[in-house]
Amino acid sequence: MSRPVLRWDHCVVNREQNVERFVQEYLSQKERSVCLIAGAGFDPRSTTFADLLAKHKVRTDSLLFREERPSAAKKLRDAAEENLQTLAASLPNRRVEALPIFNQHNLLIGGKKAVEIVAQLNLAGYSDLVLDCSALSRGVVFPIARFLLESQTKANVHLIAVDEPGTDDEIVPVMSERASYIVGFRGAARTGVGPEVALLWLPQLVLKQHRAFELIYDMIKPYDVCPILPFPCADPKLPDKLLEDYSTELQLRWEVDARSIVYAHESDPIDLYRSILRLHFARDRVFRENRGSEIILSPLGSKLLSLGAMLAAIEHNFPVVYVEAVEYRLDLDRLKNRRTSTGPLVHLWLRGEPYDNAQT
Amino acid sequence: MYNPFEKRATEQVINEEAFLALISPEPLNVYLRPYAETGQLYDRLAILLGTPGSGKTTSAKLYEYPVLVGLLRQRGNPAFRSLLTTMTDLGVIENGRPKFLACRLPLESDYGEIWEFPYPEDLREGLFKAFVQARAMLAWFRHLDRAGIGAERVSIVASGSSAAALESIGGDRGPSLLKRALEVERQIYSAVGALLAPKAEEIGNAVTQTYRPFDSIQQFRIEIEGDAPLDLQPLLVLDDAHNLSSSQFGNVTRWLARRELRIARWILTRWDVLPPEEAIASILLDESDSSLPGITTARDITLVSFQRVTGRREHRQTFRRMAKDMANRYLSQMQQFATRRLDDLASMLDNSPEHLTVTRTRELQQSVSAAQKSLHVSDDRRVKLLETIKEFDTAQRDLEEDDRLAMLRILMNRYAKRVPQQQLFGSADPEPARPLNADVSVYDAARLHLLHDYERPFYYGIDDLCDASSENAEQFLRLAAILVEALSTKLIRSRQAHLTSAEQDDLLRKRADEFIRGWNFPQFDRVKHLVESIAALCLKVSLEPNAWIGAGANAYGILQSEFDQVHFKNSELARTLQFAVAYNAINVVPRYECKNQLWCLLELGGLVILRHGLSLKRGGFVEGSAEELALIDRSFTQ
Amino acid sequence: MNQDLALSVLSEIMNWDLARCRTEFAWLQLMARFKYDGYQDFVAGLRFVESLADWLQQFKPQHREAAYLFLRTHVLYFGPAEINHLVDHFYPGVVRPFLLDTVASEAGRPRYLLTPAHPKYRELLRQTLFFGLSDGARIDSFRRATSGIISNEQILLATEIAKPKWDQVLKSLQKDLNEQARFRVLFLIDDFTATGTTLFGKLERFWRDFSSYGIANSHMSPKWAIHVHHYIATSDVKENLPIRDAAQRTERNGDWFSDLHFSYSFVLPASMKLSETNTGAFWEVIDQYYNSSIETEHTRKGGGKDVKLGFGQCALPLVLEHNTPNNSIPLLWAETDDSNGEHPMRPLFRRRQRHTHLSGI
Repeated sequence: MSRPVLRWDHCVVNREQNVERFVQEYLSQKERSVCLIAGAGFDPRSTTFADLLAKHKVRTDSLLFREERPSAAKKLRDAAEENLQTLAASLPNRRVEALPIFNQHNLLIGGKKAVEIVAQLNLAGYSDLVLDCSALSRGVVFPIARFLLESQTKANVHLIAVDEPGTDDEIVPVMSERASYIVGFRGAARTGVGPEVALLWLPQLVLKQHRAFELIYDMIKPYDVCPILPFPCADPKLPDKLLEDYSTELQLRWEVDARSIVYAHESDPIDLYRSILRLHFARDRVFRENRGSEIILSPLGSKLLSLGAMLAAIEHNFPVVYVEAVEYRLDLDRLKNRRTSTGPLVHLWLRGEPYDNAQT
Repeated sequence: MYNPFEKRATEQVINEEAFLALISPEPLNVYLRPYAETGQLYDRLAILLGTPGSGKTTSAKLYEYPVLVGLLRQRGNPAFRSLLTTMTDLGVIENGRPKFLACRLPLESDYGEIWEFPYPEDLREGLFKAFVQARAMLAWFRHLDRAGIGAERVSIVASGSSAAALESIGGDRGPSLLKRALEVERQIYSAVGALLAPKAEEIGNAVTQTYRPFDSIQQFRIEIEGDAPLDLQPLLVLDDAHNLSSSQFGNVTRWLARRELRIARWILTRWDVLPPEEAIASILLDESDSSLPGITTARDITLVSFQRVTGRREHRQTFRRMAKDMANRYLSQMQQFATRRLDDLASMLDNSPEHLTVTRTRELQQSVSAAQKSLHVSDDRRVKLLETIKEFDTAQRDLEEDDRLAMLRILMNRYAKRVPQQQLFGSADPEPARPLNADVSVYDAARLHLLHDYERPFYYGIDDLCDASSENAEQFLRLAAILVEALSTKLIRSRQAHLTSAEQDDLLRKRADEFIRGWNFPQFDRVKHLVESIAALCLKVSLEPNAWIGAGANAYGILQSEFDQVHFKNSELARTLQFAVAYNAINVVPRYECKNQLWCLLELGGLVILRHGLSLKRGGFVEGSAEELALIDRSFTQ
Repeated sequence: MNQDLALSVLSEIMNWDLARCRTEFAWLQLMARFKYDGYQDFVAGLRFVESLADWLQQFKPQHREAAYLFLRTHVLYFGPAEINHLVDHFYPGVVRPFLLDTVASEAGRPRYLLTPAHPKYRELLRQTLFFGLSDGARIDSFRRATSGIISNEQILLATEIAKPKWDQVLKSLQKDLNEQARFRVLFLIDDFTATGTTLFGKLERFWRDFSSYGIANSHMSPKWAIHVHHYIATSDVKENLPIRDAAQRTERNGDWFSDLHFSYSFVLPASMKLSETNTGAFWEVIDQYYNSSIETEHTRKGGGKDVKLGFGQCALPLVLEHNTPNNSIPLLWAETDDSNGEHPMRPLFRRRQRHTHLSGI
């Protein structure tokens, strides 16, 4: 039996000290020049990777986005300002761009604007393109990542994130009023005539985001629903807590079949990537002849995990539907107390040298 | 446990028969029929207004071709008779054949994004309109296909269109029309979906040439084997139009208001703070578009409100009818109830109050006696007051001791207020300035006082359930769901499917609380703060010992003239109100006449009323001002 | 018994009011459907809710609420979907990184530039054998998950490997690579370990055959390693196994695997272990409702004067879909009569004993 080939099955993933080793031995080589795209936001994780680059004197030009939302609380804006100062110290060659996420008519424009700005960079002039997701929202990360991967340069493409699900939990979004596709992640057009495509929705469950899932469901109206639960995960009862929290949705509203739960390793995005594609290939065989099947992803929750969904979406052109936040709620003091240390850095090497010279 | 009450409209089953089984024809009768009968619903632009869950989308869905076919297939089934009659009365069905071909386009972000393209305005406008028309065409063909009618059997009847115009839309035969629509749609869609918007020159020719099927199409003509062809009037339904920016909305409205268009067209949007006439008129008058002179609302646009503000009492009655009908249909879909022939929700909800225990009644008695003493009400007067109560206590009412005592306390307080103070001292029993009667408002007030003083159940019976729904179908279902779940639980325990007033009161208030705590929309906490402040004011007034406000207050009133200025003078408040109205936390009742003045009432939504224990009866309001309300809104801290 | 009836009985046993019934019925229906009804031991007519009703009835009324809450908040159940996921994750998540680490040090290529496409990796992978130490290792699922990547010849059941089999797999290896090829890595896989007692028993047996056949010299490459992997383990055992392994080596004067590694797919946090502080009123219930007839020679090996807290005093609230481990508290899994005058224990998730002492048949 021939296995379908997964582009990122062999993705190089570095964690913790291996990330530092990578920065120290590889990125700091004098023939390398790095273009870093990152966020300058209130997220305490936003300075972690930049510090590492500075520590090992990596030649870096950086583009820092300051995401702006209509109702940002003053405390958060102050925290963002502080982080920007720290980043300034680590990144002398930087350009800071304000990025409004919504326009004055409440239309989502952040992703598109971000890509427009990135498109103006001279990407061919760098050996390594690094997208640090720590302080960027997924509506911005996903389109930029896709753009970088589709760009025609020979540069390496890297993704950086900090694995801290606890912090992800503390940052609570206030939902905007409707769901939308992430820019560049609409999938194939489905408005033709003919038997309707069997839409399979894979919502990544996260506690107490019922409204978001409601809005997404309204927009997609899927045929089938396969929720994604984290397993293994740090809190072994989390999957049960999620089942209970979404009891009404699972049993009454979405009518999920008991065997339709998909599990994904909480801190391994490539595991989620594989799980999604496994499902896709299985369904594709069944539906291809007749009406076509389409998977729609909604990677809410852990940012690290959502990167796995992103890769699957990029490779197979799956639509990604989410709800953007109009503001964030965060108790900065409580977060500070809760964070005993910075979570491990995770590096995904998406394109470049390890895959080009495979044979030597 | 299958509970269709919990499912939201979008989550309901996909196939037509199942959908039809759950639909009550009432909303169509109530909201649409008056306009359908005069033809105003189909011969010009109609704007349907209502909060989410009010039933606009469901009503529009009923016009869809496969649904109509499904309904006609069920012609012989008595369960569908009323729906069939309604659809016939609305002119949707005639002689056993559908008369419309409807398509519903939700105005998702795609359309808004076109407006944001970095192109000159007329190109953007052209793309937007082409996109809408292409999608409409595709949707029409899709619905026909779903009902088994392929494009080859379809043609259009074009109204005096030039050959060139016809050619640009693909001619007049189905397959070429479909092909052209697909071409246009794909081109625009790929531009919308692209990471980087293509340059203006790159937008394909298929699109920049004018594509205007709406200008040409009069009817769709379907070949029927062995029968006369079927002519269908196209109906375009643009849903969720509040997603558009106001300039886009104005643009679309002007476009579709043109009387030359032969297709029927509806725009569905939710309420905003301004009363509808004002909102539309202001948008139209804003633009100085000389090419379209003389568009006046009344003549060129039909406004249909799904949550009426005039004739509110009848409206409440009709909503009750509709809700009961809907509930019973849903019950019939639940095996647990259907197999036991439990098909009437109202009968399973106890409609009689639960009275206080002997001990508590005695407490109440003591409290009333104490009040009598401190108010200096003579025993004779007490007897007279009790007599008026007795007159009120007819066989229907069935008052018990607790009701009577609570009413008495109110009447005594009223008496004291209507008599000059000094006359109370001494043995005389002065007559009150105005006669005192025990009427239904005293009774209602008494019940409310009993709720707050003794936790006597207040919300029960099917009518209260309906009234707490803010005349919103979805809210009704979600509230009913918890009662149905409790009934279902009882059935599992082999008990009677019946809920006492105490059980209903408890469940409803719990559910309301749950919903409010689950609010998650922009400004939700500000809205919460505002409605809770208003509720507190209402409660204070309602619990005044003499219940001067009657049954109770559940609204905040400001002068209409002040309200008209809110948008300009208190923009923050306006914004909070906008979301409060959109999510049924507040219902705006403009031009309410009271004491020779025109008020604008901000009525609290049913969930807020339940949560705070306020009256469901309408009309009682706290007099306030825009300034005070703005102050309250501003006092919100995160 | 249909579920509604069982729920009704349950509500009576627990004396729940309407409000409580509503919430608990919803939870029970949810969990039965999505998880517990799949327990291997349940059959049609006697599934989770029925079993729960039965289980709760063994407790006096005043103890039932504590028992029910224990179920609600503490019990950890891993069903086939979860276990299969761990099996699926094993190769890419554990095997591959380990092999890549080895290749990196030998090929002189930085780890971060290495992918399985490297020929040295393919070679090393071929020189690896995978042994299932029991059914729990899910060798069949592992085969399916890695088909096309790992040859069937490399995946075996440890209990079935005799000398001829060793020879056969070596021959197959040499056919695929070259005549001098030898094995370099052995993976021994099992589903669950809580104390390591069972594991070391299996390891000793394996070593016994391994050394008696002289496999190390004839079939293994000079610098070979053995890797023991469990899908699920407790945090205690994770700390103890390397210590025990070192002690074993010392005691036996080197007559033991020289390069032994341990790995786990999922380590249960220490906080999962039941104690007086985290079980509240249920602690007393654990103590009171017990029957010593479940003690055996085997259980006594685990230590402690009784097994109220499960084998090895592990005090786990863990249930695995195919069987409940005896390291979990016996209240969850034990079934006894009262012939010895003690409390007749009823199980919630009954355990099929692996070491049964025959009691007359």
